[in-house]
Amino acid sequence: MVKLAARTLVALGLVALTPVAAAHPPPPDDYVESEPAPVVDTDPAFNMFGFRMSAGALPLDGGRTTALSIGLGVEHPVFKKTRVFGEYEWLWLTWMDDRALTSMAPRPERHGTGHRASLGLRRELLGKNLGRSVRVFIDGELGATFALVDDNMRGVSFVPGGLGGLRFGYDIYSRSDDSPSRTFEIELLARAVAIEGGVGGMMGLGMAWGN
Amino acid sequence: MRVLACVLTIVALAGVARADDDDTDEDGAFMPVSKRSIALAFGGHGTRIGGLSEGGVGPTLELALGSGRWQYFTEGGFATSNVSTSTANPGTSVSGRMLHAGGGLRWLARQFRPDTSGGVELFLVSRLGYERFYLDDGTRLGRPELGFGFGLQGRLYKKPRLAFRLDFRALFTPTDTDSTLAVCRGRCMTESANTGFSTGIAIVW
Repeated sequence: MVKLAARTLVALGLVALTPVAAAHPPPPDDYVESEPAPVVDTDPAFNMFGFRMSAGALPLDGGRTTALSIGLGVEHPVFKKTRVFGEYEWLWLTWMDDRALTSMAPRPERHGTGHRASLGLRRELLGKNLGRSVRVFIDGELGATFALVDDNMRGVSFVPGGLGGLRFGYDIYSRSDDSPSRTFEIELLARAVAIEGGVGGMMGLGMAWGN
Repeated sequence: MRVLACVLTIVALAGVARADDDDTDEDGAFMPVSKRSIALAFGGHGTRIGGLSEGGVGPTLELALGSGRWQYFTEGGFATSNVSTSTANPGTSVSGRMLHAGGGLRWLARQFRPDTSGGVELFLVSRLGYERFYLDDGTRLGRPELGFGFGLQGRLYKKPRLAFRLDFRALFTPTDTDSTLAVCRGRCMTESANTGFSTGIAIVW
């Protein structure tokens, strides 16, 4: 009983001292802590994840092929203004048959689909901040592509190649600290794709989220 | 002893609460999808039937249940269908209708919130369904359909909680047998697989 009473008194004493301690903070010394300078990250780098839809023409098997693609991509900053990117695209392919236009007899349609992986580097060539939350840019890119194409006449073929292009777009930065993605990017892509048989081109619209 | 038990309970609960509020809990940072939603979409599709190009447009209705970053949906709709039967004359086609229904999963992969009122989201989607064609030349074709894709969604987090969605999917269906397709008329070709795509815009509430 005595012990319980003693503990209760100690607890009450601590509770009573708490507001006193709060009411009488220690006197200030001569050291004045300056406010830390706000960190302004003028060139933030993010891991990006997004998608793109594209259309263009590829010289597959030396012919004219219309290509539509939808794909996903990731990017990772490796240098200050350089990012490495990896992409996967699903391709919808239709071969243009010039002879069909002059043929009296129906000619079979040649078409196919493909899976294309791309790996490369993109680097900012020009960039400008518009206010604190928007940055416009022009980026250049170089890389390699590897495609598996399955068409209804020749079956499956492996199509390696190289790519180079320009990206025009802008980044928007979130003012909300609790946004899962701190930036959102929209870009237009003009890309040349060199494969066996010639050079083709793709135009695309892409969007990516960064965090 | 009771006090000790209470204190331990409070300490334990405090630890759990801190764990839930941990910034590394990525799911918690996301604004969850609506628990119930309905979407009206209008889209287009392109597939192959017996080696011939087929395409069309039409509306789709979707009902969905949501939990966190996941959404479970069922959808159905109809579309026009035009099968190109000649490469010599691209205008030559067989028309008809296509009905489709199915269900799937949607996962919120990314969410960008410029402020608290709404955000722009990236989602991944997979779908299993069935499509049936009724072509004017008598062809009747039904086949299962597997779809994978992604999309962009602009969403308001406050009332009226509307969303605008763009959707892109790659479609995979079993290879058609020529004998079932009147539209082929002997010109269809065997493929290792039928693939296609669909895309659409939707208003979600």
